[in-house]
Amino acid sequence: MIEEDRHSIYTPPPSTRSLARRETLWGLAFLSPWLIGLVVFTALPIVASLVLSFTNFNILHPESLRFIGFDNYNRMWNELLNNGAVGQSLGVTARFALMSVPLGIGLALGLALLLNQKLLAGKSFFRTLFFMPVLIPLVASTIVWQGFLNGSTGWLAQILRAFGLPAPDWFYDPSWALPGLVLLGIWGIGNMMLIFLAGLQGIPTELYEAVKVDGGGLWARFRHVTLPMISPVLFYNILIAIIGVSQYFTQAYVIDPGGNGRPGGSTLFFNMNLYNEGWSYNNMGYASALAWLMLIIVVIAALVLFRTSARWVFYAGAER
Amino acid sequence: MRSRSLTRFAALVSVVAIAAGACGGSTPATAPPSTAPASAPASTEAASPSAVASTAKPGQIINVNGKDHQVVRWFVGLGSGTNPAQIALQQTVVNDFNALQDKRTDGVMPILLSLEIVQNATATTILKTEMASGSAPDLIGPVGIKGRAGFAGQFLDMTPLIQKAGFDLTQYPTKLVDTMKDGQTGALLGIPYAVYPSYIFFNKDLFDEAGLKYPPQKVGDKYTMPDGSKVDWNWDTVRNIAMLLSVDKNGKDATQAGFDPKSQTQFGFEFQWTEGRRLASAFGAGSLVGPDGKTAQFPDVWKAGWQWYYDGIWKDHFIANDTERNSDLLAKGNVLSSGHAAMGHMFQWYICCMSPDAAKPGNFKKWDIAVMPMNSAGATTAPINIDTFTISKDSPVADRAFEAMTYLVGRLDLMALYGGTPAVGDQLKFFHDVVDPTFTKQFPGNKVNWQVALDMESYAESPNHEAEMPNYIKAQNDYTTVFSTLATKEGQDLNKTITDMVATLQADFSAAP
Repeated sequence: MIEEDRHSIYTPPPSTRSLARRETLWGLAFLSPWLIGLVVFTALPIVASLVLSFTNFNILHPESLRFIGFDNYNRMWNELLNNGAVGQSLGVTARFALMSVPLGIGLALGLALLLNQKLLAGKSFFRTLFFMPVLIPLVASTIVWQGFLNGSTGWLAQILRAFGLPAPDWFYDPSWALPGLVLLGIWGIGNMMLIFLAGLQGIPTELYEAVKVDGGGLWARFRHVTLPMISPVLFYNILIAIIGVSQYFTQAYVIDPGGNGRPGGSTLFFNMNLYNEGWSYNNMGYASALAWLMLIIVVIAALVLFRTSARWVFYAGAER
Repeated sequence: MRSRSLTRFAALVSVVAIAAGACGGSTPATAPPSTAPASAPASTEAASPSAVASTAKPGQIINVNGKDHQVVRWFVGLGSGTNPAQIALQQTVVNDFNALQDKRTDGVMPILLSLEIVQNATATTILKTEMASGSAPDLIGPVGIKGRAGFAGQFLDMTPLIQKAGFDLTQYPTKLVDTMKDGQTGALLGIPYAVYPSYIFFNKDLFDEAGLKYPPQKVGDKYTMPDGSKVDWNWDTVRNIAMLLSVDKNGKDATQAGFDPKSQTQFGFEFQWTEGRRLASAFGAGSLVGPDGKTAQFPDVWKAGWQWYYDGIWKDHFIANDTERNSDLLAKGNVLSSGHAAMGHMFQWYICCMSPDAAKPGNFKKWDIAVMPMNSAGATTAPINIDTFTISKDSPVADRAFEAMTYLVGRLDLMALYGGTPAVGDQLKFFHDVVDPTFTKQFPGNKVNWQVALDMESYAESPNHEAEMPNYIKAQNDYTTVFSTLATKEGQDLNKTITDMVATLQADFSAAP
């Protein structure tokens, strides 16, 4: 009897099993638009690009398509070693990442900390204000910033000159073009700021009180409570920022629709070079290989982040 | 049970509908592609031509108001044709053409011309995508040598169509017809359509204000300097008077002590929307590739041109650098229209943009055009652009596309708005009858001596500055990258810059497929 009961508990009757299967099928049916989209527009192109990276695929001459083994990767390697377009564009992207990621993360965190202050009036207003640039299309905001940063008649130049300071030529000076794009990017840190803010608001106040009781000041509270408690958010934002840099294209392309990375190649981002190879020179096979190189670089960066995260990311309640 | 089945069916239909929607627009399902009208059993019913034509497949036949029409797709974007006024007129031209087709009584299926306009920045990408996906448009243009360079082997040799139509090519100067040929195969890719000579624009208001004589309008005429001396109209003279016309906020010109180039309010000269070869050719004809077709070079006369430009920006301060050029003062790059540039090298196509709004007065009142200056060897060279319409090599209705093309090339109002000059016929009459009226609102009462433009056609450079070279797009990108530094980077050793660039170009040429 007991055996029978146990059996009845662990083996659902046929009607229950059929219900579970039906629910699964319905779930899959409702998921199917997304699944179809994932397979058709993401998974297949990924596989296709991997296959194409081993071919000489020319978009205008698909009839001459043939398998060329690792030729594209060899060429890429040579261009990397000889500071060709690959080396140059990777350098531009790396320099941009080194400037924009720490600056963006620091400023977003700083703004979130400010907006998390109890004494600040008009929090909602400021949150909206800082988030609003995220809603503006990238192309439009880049065009506006081109005018704003113009070294001759731009507002910033006029303000700087009013204080007797020199105004950089930003997008028209090879030395200032990248910092100009970094500045433009900072305008759009509202999203990152909101994520930080959500993290900050999830920190239990008791922890701050405990530090206070122990005689800790502002820095101690930030160093020993805020930073560890938001470290998962910090980790997430850094990862997203690195991925964002690896996909950086639109702003640089708006500034130089010719795709030359003007002025003087100073804004020739990796994806601009990839675009040129694929669309200007028709070398889709080589462009696919370039895309895979970037994927590998991002995966390595992500792995490094994940591997080091055990040392600096604190998950409350998680086993160390 | 029945209700459950119905619900399930409805859900599945919804899922399919959502998935189909997510996959993009649908094409008419009942209209199979057709290469011959007789073999097209099915056709698409459509309420209005514009509603269906943009999604038409190559060679598709569409039924409009109970009558079958052969769709011919016209792609615009590789050259002129994308500003609002041009878009509007092109649509009118298409409507006129389609209306005429509907009235034809010769028993031939009417053409339904379908217009696809893509902004220039993305036109190449979109056209390549359409070609790669087997959905190339039939008719493409207007397009110049540079615009078609990235599409080697994709356009039809029009010779058989031209012969079949009895089109007389001998009416065109041989030099123009030759520019229509593919540099490698010799295939005739189009007939010369719009010619865009180049010349010197001058702003009469600023010359009058400075008390300077106007530049000459006949080749060989001298220029009278402020001291009354008569000098050759060459690039040195242009530099000298351009410096007099470059003014800072204190009213000092570039020849005076205390002139502040950081606060310039007026510039003496501009190469309007130029690029490396275009600019260099104003100083003399040349090519980046040697006579053997594979050796990179940079002619001395081009070096002199680049040096003149570079010094004009950084040393003599009569040309704006890129920051100044893209400032509000100089209309964000549309420098000659700003009213703050006294002279400039402009092509005929620039008449599209002489003022910010074609329906309102421009930023200055009087302007005219002068002949190109001589180089140090005493030669006058006027770079020229030539546009044409091409037909896709994969077009299943090439003959119908050619038919539509012959209508388009006959619309002089369209050519006027493109800024072109007819390759044959009474060009001066065209200027007076068609071009001048477009300026009545922008520059009322202004009279332009268009004979100068016509004269400059005789001084067109050969080879053309957009001429073919190995690995065209890559080489073009590489020299453009270097050229961009001329207006952005002070203190360069231009000889070294050019030597390095030639080495890069050689690598490009050597890597040509």
